[in-house]
Amino acid sequence: MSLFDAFRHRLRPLFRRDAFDREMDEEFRHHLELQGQDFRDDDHATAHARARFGSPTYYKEETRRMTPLAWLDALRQDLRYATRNLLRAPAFTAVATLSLAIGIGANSAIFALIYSVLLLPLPVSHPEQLVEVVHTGPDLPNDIFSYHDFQSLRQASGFAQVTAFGGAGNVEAVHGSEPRSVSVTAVAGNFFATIGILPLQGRLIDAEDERVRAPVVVISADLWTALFNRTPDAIGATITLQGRGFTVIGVTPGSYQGLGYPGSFEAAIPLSTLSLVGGDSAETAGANAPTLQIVGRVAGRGAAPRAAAMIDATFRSCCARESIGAGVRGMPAAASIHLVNIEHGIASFKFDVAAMFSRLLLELMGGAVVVLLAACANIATLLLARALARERELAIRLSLGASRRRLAGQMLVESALLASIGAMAGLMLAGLALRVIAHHMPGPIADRVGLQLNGEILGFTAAVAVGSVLLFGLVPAWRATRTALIAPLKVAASSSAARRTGMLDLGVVVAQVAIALVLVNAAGLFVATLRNLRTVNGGFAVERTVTTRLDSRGTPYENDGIIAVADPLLREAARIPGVRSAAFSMVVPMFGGRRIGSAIAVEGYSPSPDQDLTGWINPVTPGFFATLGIALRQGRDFSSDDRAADQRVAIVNDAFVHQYIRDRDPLGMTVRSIMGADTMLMAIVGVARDARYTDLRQPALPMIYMPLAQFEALPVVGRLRVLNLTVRTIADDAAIITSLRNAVRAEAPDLRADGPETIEASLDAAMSRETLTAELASLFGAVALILAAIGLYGLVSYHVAQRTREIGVRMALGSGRSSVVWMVLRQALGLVTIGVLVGVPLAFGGGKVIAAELFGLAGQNQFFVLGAALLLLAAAVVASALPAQRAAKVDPVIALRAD
Amino acid sequence: MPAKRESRNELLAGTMDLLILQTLTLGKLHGYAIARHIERSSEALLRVEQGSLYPALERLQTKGWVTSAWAKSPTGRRARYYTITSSGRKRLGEKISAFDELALAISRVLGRP
Repeated sequence: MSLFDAFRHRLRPLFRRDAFDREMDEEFRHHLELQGQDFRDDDHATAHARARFGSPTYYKEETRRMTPLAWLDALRQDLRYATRNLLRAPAFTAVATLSLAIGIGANSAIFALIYSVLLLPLPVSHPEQLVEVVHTGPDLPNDIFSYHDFQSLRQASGFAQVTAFGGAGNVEAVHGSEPRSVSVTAVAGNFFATIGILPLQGRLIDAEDERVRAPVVVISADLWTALFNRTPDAIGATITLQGRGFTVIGVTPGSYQGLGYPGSFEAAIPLSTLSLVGGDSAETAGANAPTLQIVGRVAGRGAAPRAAAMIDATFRSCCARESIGAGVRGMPAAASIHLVNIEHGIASFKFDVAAMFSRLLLELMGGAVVVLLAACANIATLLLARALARERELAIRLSLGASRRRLAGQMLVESALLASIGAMAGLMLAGLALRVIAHHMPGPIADRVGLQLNGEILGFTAAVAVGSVLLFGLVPAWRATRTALIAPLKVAASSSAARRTGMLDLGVVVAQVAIALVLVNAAGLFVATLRNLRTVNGGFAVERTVTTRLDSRGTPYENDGIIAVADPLLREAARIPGVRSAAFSMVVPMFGGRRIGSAIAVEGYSPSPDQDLTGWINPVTPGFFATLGIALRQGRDFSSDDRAADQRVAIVNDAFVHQYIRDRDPLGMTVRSIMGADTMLMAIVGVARDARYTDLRQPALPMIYMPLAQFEALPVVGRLRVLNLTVRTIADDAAIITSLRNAVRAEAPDLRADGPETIEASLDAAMSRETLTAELASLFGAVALILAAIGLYGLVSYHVAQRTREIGVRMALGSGRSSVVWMVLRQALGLVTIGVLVGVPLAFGGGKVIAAELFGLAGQNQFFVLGAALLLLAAAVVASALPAQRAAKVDPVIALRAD
Repeated sequence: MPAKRESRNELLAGTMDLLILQTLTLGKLHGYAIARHIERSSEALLRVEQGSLYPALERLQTKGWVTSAWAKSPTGRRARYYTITSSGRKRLGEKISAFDELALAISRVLGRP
């Protein structure tokens, strides 16, 4: 017998089942015939032959059991049996599948969210080895180095590879007719080799391009689509960047979005060509101008600290700068170097996604797991009830010779089938949910949010499904193995001896109630937080303000900055009918803008060691405070006369006064501010009330307002290319948005005016995270509540059905309908009360876990727990109303005659 | 109930395989002939039930010790004929010596000469 024959033999019963059956039938028939003949020949009676001849079906099963893949065959049978069973009870199947789909879908959706927002590594080779060099320097952000620093750090031992890149900002790119603004990155020659990506088309920039200053450009897959419609002719084509022709040499893979997170890679040119597109290069701005970010590869995660120490040593010897603490007692004199792992991308300074979402997402994951638990509990009760109803069937099958193991296996297969359907439906739900959730996510990462059916997410969903089978499927399966053989077969036994439901069933309902209490409480807290945030006074006017972001990058106004057209634009804006005042500022509350952090020193204030001496700078034009509704508490507003470089003035906020000035008189006090290379001394001329710029729940940070005219005069940080223009209107008028855009177009036609919107709209956007949380938490709470109600309904109906006879007896003995109804209600309320008692400590614990996300609810948790408990009691009444009514309608005569 | 089935399986695995393999050294036989031969040569002390014979044959085939083919029987009916393979013969030798050892051991324990 060849190996192949043996193999074929193994597979035979599986794939050629009919043939297998036929052959076996034939063989048995043959056997039987011969046996019959022999018995006829013998003296033995025919009866003996009959007795000796058993059931061919049984033999066949036995024979089949011997085949090697018998379990697979048995599984197929069980699956068919399970399918039939589920189809026979459509209501049960629908409820169970839906519960599971919600439970599993919630988990998959939140996991997919966590995966896409937090876990997705950079699409480069060995992202875990990538680090970014940062220094605790005198200015923020602190990951920008000069060309000289880069050249020196290149020599440092510690890196396996090191490279650098710098932003050229948005550049006007022309290919064909339509000019467009493209974000260009200038990269060192070894950049792509260091991060380890391969071109989708053509080749990537290399050291030779860098050396010969080749005007070449590598474009992103998106730009390739936009400009060249994904045709290979792109390679060798010319794109004009800022008036200079660059040859396209390659396309990066679609997954590559740059090293930043959120990423925005569009095009890369050699670092040595940066000056061609008007970037601050070593030649134009000097070798010491901070323009580069340095990224390196270390041997592995563990190698980073050692590498950092070596690089720090190099940095101190070549490029050390004074730190802000220089000269102040107890503070380090020189900046030091750190390496930051950038496996998930370089966190944006303005928009740190991980910091913003990690805690919230983990809390949501917790909520989703709890919902799944509730769903599993629900299905477990349903399955248990079914198992009781099927006891007779199981007993019959056991007495016909089915093995208990096989019965238990069948129960498990049924559960697994449910879970698989639930998981598939859950994935679909998750896909829908993610599309909704993506709308609530901040723009830069909304694209990342979606259901990618990759190994991680499918694996997670499968694991959740298996976990839920273990949760809800094991108990019924275990029960099946303990079915009594005789009792269920006696018909009378099942209806007269009121079988007690096990403690288990009661326990499951109690657990569901407790879970629902926790989630309803959390939902209440999140919704109240959202309401509180909506009513919080941020210190600025929410209504009747419209802001637009003016961007001069890649426009003729770029070189001179917006300041050149600021005055005419203000006049034009103020002329719009219905506009009361207008002002420029770098940052607008809730609308956003680039925040400049500055190291500050205040006259007569000695900081403690390690103190954060950051002050936030907001350059504004006169009238800003009136336009934004920020009250001036003391002193005066800026005026158009605040221009001279030797008479710098500042207005500080309450938080600034509170931290640095205390009880002294702020007016006339001197503040020193260091922003990179620019240092200035200002005299305080006013104090403004605190305004919360980004997070309504956080107290305002110390802020220094400066006249825009004086800020613009600063040699390095001045010349702002992006500014926000805000107008205050007399009445609520959506038309102002259009008028404002038209006014800008009339005065400065080429200037980009992005998203004129009301501050109210900005506020909505700023609260998208809280809105999302409140919505998801409410959804989770509602689902848990419904699941608990269904579980309760199932249990109470079951009890009523079982106690029909008892109820009949009670009524025959004079019990009123109301007392019967009360008897049913009492049971439901009793269960809910126990569940609530179990759930209360959990709900308080849950409230503590999410406390960081809450706002304005300190010490109020007990009211929400109480509310949730009342809601659950109400749900108990609703859930048991129908069974109670049914009980009240019991006719004693019929009930007693039933047996 | 499962326990009982287990012990029968053990018995099957132990002796039924041995008996079938030994019988098949006579040549190609169909299932009934195997059963009859075992019964006859044991002088009706051993009875082979369908319920143990065919599962055993299936198992032996799976292990590659026995192979089968359909052929015409002397009565003109189609029947499945089983043949012992060379690995089956090797296995038979091992099984016989194992059985001899066991029989010897048991008779020693029972104090038989």
